[in-house]
Amino acid sequence: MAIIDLNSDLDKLINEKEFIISYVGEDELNKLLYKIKKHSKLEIYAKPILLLNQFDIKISPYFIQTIDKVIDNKYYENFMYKKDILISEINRKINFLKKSEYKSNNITLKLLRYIYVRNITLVPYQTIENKYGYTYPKIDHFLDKGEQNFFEIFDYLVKRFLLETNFVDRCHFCLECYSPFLNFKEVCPRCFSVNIKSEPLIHHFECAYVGLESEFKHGKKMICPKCDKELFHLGVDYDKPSFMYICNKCQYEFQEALIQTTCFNCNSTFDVDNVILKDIFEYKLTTLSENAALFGFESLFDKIIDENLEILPNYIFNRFLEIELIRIQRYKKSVSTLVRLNLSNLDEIYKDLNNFEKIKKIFVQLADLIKTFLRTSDVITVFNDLIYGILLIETSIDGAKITTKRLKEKITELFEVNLSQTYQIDVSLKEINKDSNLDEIMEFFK
Amino acid sequence: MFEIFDNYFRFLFAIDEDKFFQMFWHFIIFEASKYIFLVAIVLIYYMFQRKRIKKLEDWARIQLYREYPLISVIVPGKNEGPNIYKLAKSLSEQTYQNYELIIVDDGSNDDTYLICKDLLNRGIIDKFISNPDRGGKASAANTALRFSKGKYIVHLDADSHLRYDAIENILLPFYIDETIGAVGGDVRVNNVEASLATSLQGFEYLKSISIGRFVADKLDVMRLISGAYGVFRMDVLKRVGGWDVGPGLDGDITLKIRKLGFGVVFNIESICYTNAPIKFRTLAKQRFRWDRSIIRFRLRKHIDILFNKNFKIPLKMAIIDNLLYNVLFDIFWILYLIYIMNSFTPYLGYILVTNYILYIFENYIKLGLILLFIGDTLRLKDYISFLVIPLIPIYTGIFLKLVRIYAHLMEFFFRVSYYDKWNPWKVSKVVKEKGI
Repeated sequence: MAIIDLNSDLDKLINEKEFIISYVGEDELNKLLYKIKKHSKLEIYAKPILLLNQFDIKISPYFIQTIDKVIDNKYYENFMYKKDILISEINRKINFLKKSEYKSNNITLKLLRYIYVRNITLVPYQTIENKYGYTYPKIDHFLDKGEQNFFEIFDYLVKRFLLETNFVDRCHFCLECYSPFLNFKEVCPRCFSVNIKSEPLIHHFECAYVGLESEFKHGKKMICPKCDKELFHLGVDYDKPSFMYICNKCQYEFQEALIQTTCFNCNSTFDVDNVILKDIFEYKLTTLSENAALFGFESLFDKIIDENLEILPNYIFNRFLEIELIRIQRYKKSVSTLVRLNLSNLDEIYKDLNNFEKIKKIFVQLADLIKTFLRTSDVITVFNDLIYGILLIETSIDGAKITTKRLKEKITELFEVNLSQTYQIDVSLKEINKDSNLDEIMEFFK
Repeated sequence: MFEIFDNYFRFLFAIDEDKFFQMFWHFIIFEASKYIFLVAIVLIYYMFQRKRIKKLEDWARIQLYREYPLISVIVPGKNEGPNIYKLAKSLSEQTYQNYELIIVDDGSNDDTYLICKDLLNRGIIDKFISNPDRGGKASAANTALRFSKGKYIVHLDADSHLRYDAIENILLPFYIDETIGAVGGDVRVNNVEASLATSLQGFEYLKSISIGRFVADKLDVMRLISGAYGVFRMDVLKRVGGWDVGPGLDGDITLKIRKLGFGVVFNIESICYTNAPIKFRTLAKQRFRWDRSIIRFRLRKHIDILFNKNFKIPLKMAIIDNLLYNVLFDIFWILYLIYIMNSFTPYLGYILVTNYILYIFENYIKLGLILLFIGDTLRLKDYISFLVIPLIPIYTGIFLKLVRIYAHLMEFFFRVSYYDKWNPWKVSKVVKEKGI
């Protein structure tokens, strides 16, 4: 049991079960939360935080969400002697993650580990304090104020199937600064002035005159400017078929105003069609989160294939290509073939499977398959999103076609037998001959 | 067969001048005198005036371009979206370019709103006003008028398009005579080739609008500017309060302008092509609507023009003639039939056949005048309409005549135009109650 304040040395309290903060005000609590959550050690940033409200001060709903539990003064003594399930569970998971050999101070991993340890759903909190309009109190203090753009981090985790989403709201953001504080306004489509007014059109049935309402108004009476007759009843003598806008600045008359928005934050103005529309979600963990919390974010298959194949960095692979091209052009006899193997939709497999061990096994087999397909003289690299580039030395395109066809069949079989689902592997080929040029070859991988 | 022809020719050669008049007085009085001799005289007179008129027009053209006023082209209509692009394109190819194109959507229930909004955003039309609740053609035209900025208002039907020099030409009369309040354009049938009905209308438009109105104009008895294509001075339109509730609002506004003392002329050099009804059934409906207006507007609403000092004697006579011709002509036709049936019973067949031949002959004379006069402006496909000339007597003499008689009787006795769906019921109800 450790009651901490801003002067506490957190490293010395690493073995405590929880941090207890005596609540004296939002400012101090805020600073302490930053101090804890920006710490690099898992045992500190993920440790349970209790807030002791000794003086019965009203705590804002936001801050209640930032900590794990609030303890009233009168229950404090009792609480200390009781074993709290929540705290025990958090500490159990911290201990579990401590076993991992994978160490990283990457903020995304920190967040994922924190969410994993808490096993919480991140609920968006609407606020004007944050420039993005929404914040996630549980994880707010992992980033400095002002650099809090969690959306990119969430998008990354969602793309990797490490978080799943639940739609909450749809929000408009500024095109320039991503602020949600936008002033939507109807403007004149000709001079863009906001100084516009709208007026109904009046259609007098009897004489077919149509004009603005103001033309008919004479005090409380409505008199037709064409036939001077008084209009009494809407729907009987006249109707209002539509309305018009009139720009007070340029006198332009129009029916459909242009909608523009001005950002309160950066003052830029743009058409409403250009605002960034973003969905706001709740986030919770997926079945793969534990694996990522333990091993990090690199694709499981990346890791496996790295271990089984000798993957070259891109720049070395490119150098090989250059040398191979020069060699072919010099001797004008041989040809080689480039293979573009796209396994990027392999991540989809993650989504539907819970059996981590089984996936791992299959991926090892998949890596082995690719390995058997390569000769020792062939070189392989990986581009973004699991696109593999393979240079088959002294192999004609016809030869490569036969080999890749066999590889495709084997991979399809592997997935069908083990997972009872089909997996379409995407393979394309390019021959390198004496007429090839390097730019054209490099385009092949884009 | 030979005997029939032989007898017929014996009959023809046996009739002397007196007999000819007795047997064919209806044709001689109502057709030949008016539609051949008068027309021919006017056209021949005009041939000698051509150079002088040309000089005046050249001068007017210089004045027009010196001033270069803004023209508002207004197109009111319902469900006309699909026609607007073609219309806008024909306007963009005009020699006169200082215009604004205003489209008023009068309660369309198709994609007109989306089409026009897109055209507006692309800058193809200048103003688009959508009234989701239909108010009728007059209110739509008045809406456009209310938001027009031009010195002159061109009223166009959406399914029309203009010849490249139409707008420039139609404006010239305003710069020749400043008392002119409105100018009618020459409306021709665009889709002459579409069906027999459109071919017949193609020839009918050429003789009754192109030639007929040209002659009426030269005699200063123009009574109608087509709703399909006409141009009005903005100040004059404002003075008459725009269009009144139709149907027949085009004839109505022409007479209202005349009443104020402004001139109304026709310009044969300004050509507008419009799509005519393809089916006889639709055509009958259209004419039923048009023909009723002569009773509703000429006979009821504007009968006071006969006592209006702004109307010159020839125009008054023309209006009387128009009323008599349209209404009494039908009665005379029936009287004529009774007369020949009684007086020349054995020759009835021969007389009817001869009448038919005379009518065809009359139409071929008109064809000659058309070719002589406006032959250079005819499109190749306009010649299709000349193939149906032998059928014109049936078309005008029977089909259109029956529709006209029916329309006149229905309007005279039952005021059927007030129940026409052409106007929304909320409008028809009010104008019927007020007896407008």
